[in-house]
Amino acid sequence: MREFLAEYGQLLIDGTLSTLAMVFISTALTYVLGVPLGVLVTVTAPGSLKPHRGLNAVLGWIVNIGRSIPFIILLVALIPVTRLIVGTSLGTVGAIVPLVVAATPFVARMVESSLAELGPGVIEAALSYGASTWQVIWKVMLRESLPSIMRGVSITLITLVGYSAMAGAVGAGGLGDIAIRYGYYRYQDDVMIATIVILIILVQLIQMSGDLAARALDKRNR
Amino acid sequence: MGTIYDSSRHLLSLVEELLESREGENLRIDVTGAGVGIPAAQLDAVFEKFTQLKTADVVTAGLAPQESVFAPFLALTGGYGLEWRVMIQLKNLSKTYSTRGVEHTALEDVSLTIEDGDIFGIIGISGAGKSTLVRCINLLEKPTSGSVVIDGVDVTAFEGRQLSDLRATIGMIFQDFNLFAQRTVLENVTFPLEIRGDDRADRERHGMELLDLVGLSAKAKQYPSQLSGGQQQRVSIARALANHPRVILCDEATSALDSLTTNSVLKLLRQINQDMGVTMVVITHEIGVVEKICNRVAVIDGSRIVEQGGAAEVLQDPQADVTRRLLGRVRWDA
Repeated sequence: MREFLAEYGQLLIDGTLSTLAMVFISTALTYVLGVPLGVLVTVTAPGSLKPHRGLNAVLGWIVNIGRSIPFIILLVALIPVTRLIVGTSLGTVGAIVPLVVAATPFVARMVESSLAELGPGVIEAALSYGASTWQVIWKVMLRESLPSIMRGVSITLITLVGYSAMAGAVGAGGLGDIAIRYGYYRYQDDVMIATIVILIILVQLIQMSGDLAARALDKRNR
Repeated sequence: MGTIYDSSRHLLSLVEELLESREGENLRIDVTGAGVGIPAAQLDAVFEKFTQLKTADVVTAGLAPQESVFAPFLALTGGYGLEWRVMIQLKNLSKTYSTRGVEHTALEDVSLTIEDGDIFGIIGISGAGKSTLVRCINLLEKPTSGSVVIDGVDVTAFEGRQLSDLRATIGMIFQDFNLFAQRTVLENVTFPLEIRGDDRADRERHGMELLDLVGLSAKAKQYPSQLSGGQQQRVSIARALANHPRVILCDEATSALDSLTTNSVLKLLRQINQDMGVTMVVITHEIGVVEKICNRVAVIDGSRIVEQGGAAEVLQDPQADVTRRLLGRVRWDA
C-alpha cells in the first residue's frame, strides 16, 4: 500500500485535481449558458410569458440536436473549435469547451423542467401586482425554483465527472486519462481500482453536498 | 351641509325622508350608482321626488350624466356638480379562446358597473366564466371585444409599463393563495413594493403594519408552508393591500377554506372595505359569501350575466334559474 502510494499518489492527486477543475469550471460555464437558454425555452413556450412559436421551435431543435450527438463524437468534432477558442485541444483547458457544449443543452432542459414545477398561479400573482416579464423571471421563476435548480447542479456535476473521464481518452488528463493509460493499456489493475474508488467518492460527496444545499435552500415543508 | 352616500336601492325612501326632515338644508346627495337596482317603472317616482329637493347638490357618478339612470332628472334640473365615482365599468365584454381552430366562448357581451366602495359579488357555477371575467379587470386576460374602464380611464389597450402601473393599483387574492413558497411571510407581503423599487427599510416597515392589520405580525419571519390555510390567505390579503390599491379582486378567496376560517377571512375583507374604502370584486360559487359581505351581485351563467342588482333583492327574489339553484330553491336532484 505504502509503495503504491509512493509511486502513484502524486499522479492520483494531480489527476483528481484536474478532474475537479474540469468538472467545476465546465459546470459553472454550463450554467452561465444553460440557465438563460432554459428560461428562454420556457418563456417562449405557447401560453407562457412571452410566447414565440418560431423562436421556441428553433431553440427546442438546437437543444435536442445538442443532446443527440454522442459525447465522444462531439469531443473529436469540436477539436478545431476548441483550438480556436482556447488555443489548445489538449489538457484540462482543452476539455472544457466540449464539456460545456455537451452539457449546456442538458442543463437547459433541466432548468426548463425545474421552472415547470412552478405552478402558473404564483406567476399570475406576480403579474397581477404589476411585475414586468423580467421581474417575473428573476424574482419569481428563478428564485422560487432555486432548490430544484440546485438539485440539477449536482446531477450536472456528476454527469460531467463521467464525461470528463471520457475526455481523458483524447488527452484531457484527469482521472479518466490515468484509468486508461495505466489501468487499461498497462494492465495495472491497482491503479484502475484506485481511480474508480476516487471517482465513487467524488460522486458521493457531490451528491451529498448537493442534497444538503438543496434542502437548506428549500423553504417548503418546514 | 350634509353628505349622504347611498348607492343602494332604498333611494326612494331616503329621498322621502330627506324631504320630510331636512327641508331647506343644503344637501349633498351622492347617488353613485343609485337606481341601478331599481326597476325602470319605479325610477320615475324617484326622479319626481328628487326634483322637489331644490337645494340639494346631487352628485351622480361614474357614468357620464347622459348615461346615468338619472339623466332625465339631471336634464330637468340642469345638473349639478358631477363626479366620477364608478370604479370599474365593463362594457360589452366578450372573450373567445380558440384552440386548434375550435372557438370557445368564455364571456359574451358582459356589461357591469362597479362603484367605488362596493363589495360586488360575481357568482356562478364552475365554468360560467367568472374567473375569466375577473381577470379581464386587471387584463390578465385580454378581452376579445368590449372595453374595461377603471376609475374613468379606458384601460383596455394598456400595455407594458402603463399596464404594470395599472395592475399595481389593483390587488388580487386567489383561491390557492399563490404565495411565494421560498419567501418569508414579510417578503411575500412586501413583494409588490419590491417590484416597485421601494427600499428595504421602507417596505419592511409598511409590510409589518400590514401584517399587524391582518393579525400575523408574529409570523413575519416564517415561511408560507408553516402557516394554516386561513393564515396564508391573510398574508395574501396583506400582500394585496401593500400598494394601497383602489380595488381588490378576490378569485374564490375562501373556496379552499373551512367554514369558520371562511367567516374570519370574510370579516377581514369587509373590515378593509369599510375602513379603507377599497372596492372589492368577489368571485365565488358560494351564495353564502354574497349573503355575508356583498352589497351588489351579478349572476353569471353560460358566459353571460343573467341577473344583477342589489344583493339583498337578488337573494330575496331571484329571477334567473341558476340563481334559484344556487340558493337551493330548486330541489337538488330535480
